[in-house]
Amino acid sequence: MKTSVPRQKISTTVSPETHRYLKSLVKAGRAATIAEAVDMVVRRAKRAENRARLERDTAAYFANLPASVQREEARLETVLAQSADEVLFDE
Amino acid sequence: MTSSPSPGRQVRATPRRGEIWAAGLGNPPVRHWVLIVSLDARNASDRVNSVLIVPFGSAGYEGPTTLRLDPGETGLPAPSYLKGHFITTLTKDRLLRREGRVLSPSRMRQISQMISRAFDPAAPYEPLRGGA
Repeated sequence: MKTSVPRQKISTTVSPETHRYLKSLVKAGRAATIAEAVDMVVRRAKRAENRARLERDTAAYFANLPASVQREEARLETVLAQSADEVLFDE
Repeated sequence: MTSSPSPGRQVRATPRRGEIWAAGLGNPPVRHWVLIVSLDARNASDRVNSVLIVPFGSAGYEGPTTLRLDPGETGLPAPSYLKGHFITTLTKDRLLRREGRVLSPSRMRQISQMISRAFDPAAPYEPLRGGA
């Protein structure tokens, strides 16, 4: 179900290429209006940014683990794997 | 995060979501603190012999799937790091003793989101400020 959100009016100009793309989204039925097409594109961009940030920070977390934390994580991996070994998934 | 094992103690646990337990992990079992994250319907069911847990570590820093919790919140003796990337299934008979405090529903929502970042690249993520 669609919920209505308060909308902010803006007045701006865009490149012909951007305009063509936004119109193509409306023509394809993926957005009802140019304004909705803009919202959709921004939502996609934000999701992509979120995803890239998560991938980057996850890589950095593991790459930068101090030796003491790395040792503890390795120990945890071992004991958790041993403990999970005895779980019967047909229970 | 570990403490010395308590050999021979095997009780049928009745854990609840948000509780911190001492659990015997590994072979031979070493006592670690873990957080129960599975739903109570599963935790209480006598037809399911396992729960979902996330272990605490004593060393670490905050990251997308790691959260630092203070003793005032957990009741544990020192700051601890909850490691969402180590979520796992644990048989209930490995749970030894309920410890510390129960984490609040809002904290558990935050932790659920943190765990989801370990497997869902589209999970919401705002980097934490600071860290250890």
